[in-house]
Amino acid sequence: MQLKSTQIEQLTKVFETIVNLVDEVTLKVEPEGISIRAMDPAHVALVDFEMKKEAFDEYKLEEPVELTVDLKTVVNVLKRVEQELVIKLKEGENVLVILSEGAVKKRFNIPLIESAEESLKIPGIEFETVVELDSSLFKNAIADTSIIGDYATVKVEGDALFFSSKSDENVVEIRIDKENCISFKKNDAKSHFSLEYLKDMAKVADIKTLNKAKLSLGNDLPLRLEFEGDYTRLLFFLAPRVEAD
Amino acid sequence: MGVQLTGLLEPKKIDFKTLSGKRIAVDAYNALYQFLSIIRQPTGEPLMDRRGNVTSHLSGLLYRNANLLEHGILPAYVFDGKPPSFKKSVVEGRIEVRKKSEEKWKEALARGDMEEARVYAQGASKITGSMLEDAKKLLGLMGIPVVQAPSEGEAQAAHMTLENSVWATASQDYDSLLFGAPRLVRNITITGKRKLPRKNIYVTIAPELLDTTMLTSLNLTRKQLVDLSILVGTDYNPKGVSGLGPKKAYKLIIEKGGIAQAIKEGVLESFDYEGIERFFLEPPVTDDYKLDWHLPDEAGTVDFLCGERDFSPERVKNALERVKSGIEKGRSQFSLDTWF
Repeated sequence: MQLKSTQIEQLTKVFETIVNLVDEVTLKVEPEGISIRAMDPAHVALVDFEMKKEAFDEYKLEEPVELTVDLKTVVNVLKRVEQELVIKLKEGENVLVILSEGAVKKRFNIPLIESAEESLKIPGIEFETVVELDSSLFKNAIADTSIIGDYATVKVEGDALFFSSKSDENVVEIRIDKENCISFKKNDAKSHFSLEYLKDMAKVADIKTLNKAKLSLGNDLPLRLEFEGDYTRLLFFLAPRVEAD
Repeated sequence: MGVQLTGLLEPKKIDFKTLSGKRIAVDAYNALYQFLSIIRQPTGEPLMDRRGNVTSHLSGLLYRNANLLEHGILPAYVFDGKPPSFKKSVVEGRIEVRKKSEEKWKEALARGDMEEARVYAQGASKITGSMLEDAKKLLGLMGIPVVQAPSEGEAQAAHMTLENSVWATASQDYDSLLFGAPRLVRNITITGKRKLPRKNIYVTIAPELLDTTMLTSLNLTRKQLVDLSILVGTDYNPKGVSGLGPKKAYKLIIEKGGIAQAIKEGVLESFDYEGIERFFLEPPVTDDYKLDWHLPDEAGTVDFLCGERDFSPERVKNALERVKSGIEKGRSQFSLDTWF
């Protein structure tokens, strides 16, 4: 196996988001691309990440492999990679090799961990409310609401999407009208979510290629949040909170 | 007490983070005994109020639960009901041991040997009816659910885990695995630094997890685990079958498949085990329980602990703050498990 990429920033940012949820992940490397599916220990959030082989400059694979790693270490290593990233496996050993090619050549060996998690399914929910918007609008709405409270109420009412939060006497409401969204499949929906999780998820908006956010909502249902780029897809499910009052 | 399976089942060290957002059915007697034997004065005497009521267990319940809740863990306490008739001799044996420990404790105190005194004082721990009442009262005031088991608490906790009402049982003993619990966590009420008896050595105790994947990797079914445990010795037949430790018993069960077959083939002398086996496999349990975590009755807790049991108001209020925010957080967040 040998994977090469010069789009290091994107991969690093995606992994940085996932590391907020889980310490260990299993990276699947398959003929069509790489993927990660993981859930945080409290089972509040699930992440499903796919990057197609076309996103890589070189994608050489003899047979599909599953690599379980300490993600924190991988993120720290990726941050030190310059110019070109090369990922391969050490022959006959359970070691992942990450190379940084450029003027200075760096080599990191990271031991693989025995995987404990059984494979995860995706929640099977039919959503009747789906709103697509610029991911920067979503990110800003989360940033605005987290100034005030610990959780956000996300709702679709009439022809607008609302984010709101409150604590004591402080209230914030963000309204994004249908005209400012990319698509808007409406049906009134309202759920509450922890901003601690939403803030981490919103960081994905910084990845240039993932500029669209698709929110699927229901009444007291999980949030399905999808970011999609040309060869990359990052999908989150976030369990709702019970309304505090 | 409980079945001795150390060396065979290797618990996995875990982080409190792994348990965050999860409901845990705690074996109440087990936890109370832990509190009572660990939380002691330098002389080995338990903590007491001015009127001589023991308060070690209340101190444990307050601060340890505050700690669990702060980590987002929701504990429910399961209390033992009537023990099975064949446990009687074990219970009597324990009373005997306790009496001896109490004598030795007093002797050591008279000699001024504090180290020995502490060791024997732990063995002399006993939970009285009024201590149980205090424990249940405090849990109620703190907003933590109390479940009354018809028989063994660990069996009821295992049942609740099987029913998905909780994620795991919590006990220092392995018995809930025999009762069918898919997951058992240990050490969650005693984490931290602990002094080893008679030695000036401190060890750090971290939470541990045992689950059914461990049985699978040993190629054991639950019934085989029960049979294996009966050979090694359980609460109901403490001596087990002489000459059989966990490793030898495991080999026998793997080779023969179970006690019945081993007896039939003459490898094992016939003995009375069916009653115990059946009890582990089909223990009396109830579906009559409710797991609701309420915000603590702060004034009531302060009245009880500070007014009646001489706790420091400042420390109690502090712990209650942690209890309150933990329960608020824990009960307000759903997990995704409902939607798979």
